[in-house]
Amino acid sequence: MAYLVFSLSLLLIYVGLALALHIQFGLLGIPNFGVVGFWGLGMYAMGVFQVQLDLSFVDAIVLSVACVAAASWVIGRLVLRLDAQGILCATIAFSAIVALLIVTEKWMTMGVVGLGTIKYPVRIGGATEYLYFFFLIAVVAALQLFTLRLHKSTTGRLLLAIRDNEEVAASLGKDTYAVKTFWFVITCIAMGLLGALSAPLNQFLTPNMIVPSVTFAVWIALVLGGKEHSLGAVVGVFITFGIFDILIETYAPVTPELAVYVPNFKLFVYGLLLVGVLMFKPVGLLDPGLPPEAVIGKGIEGVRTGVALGRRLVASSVSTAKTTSGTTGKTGSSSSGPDESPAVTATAEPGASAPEADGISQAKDPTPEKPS
Amino acid sequence: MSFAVDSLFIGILQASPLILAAIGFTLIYYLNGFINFAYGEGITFGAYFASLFNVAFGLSFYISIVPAAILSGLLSVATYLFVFRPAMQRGIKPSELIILSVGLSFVLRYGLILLVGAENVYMDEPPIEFFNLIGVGATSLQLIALILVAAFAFNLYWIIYHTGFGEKVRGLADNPELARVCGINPHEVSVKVWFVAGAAAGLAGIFQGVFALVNPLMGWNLILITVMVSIIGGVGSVRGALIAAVVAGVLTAAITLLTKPLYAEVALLAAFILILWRRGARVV
Repeated sequence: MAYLVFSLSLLLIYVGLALALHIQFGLLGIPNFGVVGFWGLGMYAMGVFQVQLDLSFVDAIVLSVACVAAASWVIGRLVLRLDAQGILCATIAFSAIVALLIVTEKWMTMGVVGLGTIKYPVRIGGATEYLYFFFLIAVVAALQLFTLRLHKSTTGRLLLAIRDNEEVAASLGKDTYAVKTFWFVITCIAMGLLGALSAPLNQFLTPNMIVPSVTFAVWIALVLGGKEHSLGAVVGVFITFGIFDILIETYAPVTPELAVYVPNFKLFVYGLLLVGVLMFKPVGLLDPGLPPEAVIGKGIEGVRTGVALGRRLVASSVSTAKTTSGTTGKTGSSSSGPDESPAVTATAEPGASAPEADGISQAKDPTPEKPS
Repeated sequence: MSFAVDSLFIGILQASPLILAAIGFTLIYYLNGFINFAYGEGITFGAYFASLFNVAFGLSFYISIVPAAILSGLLSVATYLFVFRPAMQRGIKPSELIILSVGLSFVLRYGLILLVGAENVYMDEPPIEFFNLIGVGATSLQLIALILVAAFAFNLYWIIYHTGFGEKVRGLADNPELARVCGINPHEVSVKVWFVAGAAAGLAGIFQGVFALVNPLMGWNLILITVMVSIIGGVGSVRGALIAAVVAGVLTAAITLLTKPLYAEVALLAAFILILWRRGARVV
């Protein structure tokens, strides 16, 4: 159960990163391939300020965000005049620099030994992780609401104009370079803030967290969900991270021998999904023309059927757990029968803020539940 | 003086896989105009093909180079025919082709890990002799790699700049419509170029693998520096990629001799961002 809360918190972090990337790439057309650099800088800055300098939670967050803001401003000034491929290479190089410096600057980051322990802001016994989880929900929900508003605002239209034809936008008297720099820095700050917030979640930071697969996981989720749709980030993360890291790792009856293959298999399927989406439906699952209200409506419908399905599954697993108690391996998680029903409602809860994800996975798999 | 000689020599010896990789990468970039991250998996697969013939079948290292290079050339052609060509025909933009190539490289890399596992593989090295050239030691293997790379590079240079086929390639890269009107079959030329590029990637992987070790992430570790070198070298010129790869190798060696190797990488990456910035929008 504690592990589920950790996974769900991580899922929220990914949703936030994908939302920031959605503004950068989907609205503004900046292909930032250094997501892990900005996120990791925020996370490690948080760790250094809290552990090495013993600052309070709020001070450390403010200073980490300031570090990320400074770094992203410098990078933005350097690269935003380049074309898409130039920006892509420069940002990927930036994230590689961050990862290397974390290894080399041992006096500050402890290098490969690892940096810890980063404390939660408040500790209230066993409720700490849950409180922090709800705090993350609030942060990411705020980011999502901001994105939805941005889509309808004049600023949003300006960003789209710059993405589609920068020359025309400039000829209409818009300072496109300044607008791009401003929004690049703002969205990178969001990534850095999410990094700083994931530091207490991870507790112990090591350099192997700062790997390019974080960047690609966020990219794959966004492209899959629909990079130009305001809800594409949520849908994409629920389909990729939600299915693989939460549903399969927590609930699927995988034997320990097979469990070794799951992470590699996951990345293999991510790759297949990405290739498939780009070849056959390049806009992603959500068409940019689809209004968010319609998506949410479909999602609520999906959640209702999902919850009904979940209840039946729980009921059947409880009845089988009673008959065959004492099974080994991963199936042991289903034998903890009564614990299961709050777990299912917990998965449905974040769905309430972003219910469409369940709707889609539901729509994809309309097979009726088998009677036990 | 001796520092300059040392770094020049070590740089050139270490750069031979990098030079090959940069040349092949540049060819594809030159012809189709997008950064192909899946090219890095060509490097990995080249090394695995070689270790298949070398370790599993017990062939000598020098003999196993040939089928391994051909197989990685075919792999590259397959990615072109089944993924990139249909995608380009559907009118997918270059920035999305890059994301597509990332997806494809995930499929290839993790497919390989699922097939053979993520453990390191060590190739059977051929018997090694040590030479002493102008005060710096080198192994016979390193020298043979260097000679092979030089032969490959000069051949390719000759083909691109002095033959009818090279003229077709340059024509297609500069102006595809005009080239088609002139009766150049873009399909045929592309397949050949992707084959040569894939073979170059495979050779790069084979030498990288025999110098150190073979693992599924080796291509990914090499692709970033390959992209950097190719872009700094002036994209679309085989000449530029050759020079840039040698310079990058020498620079890395020089910085490595002065500081820790990781700082050398940081310095190179920072220099790369600054060069991109100085050149402005006409990078690509």
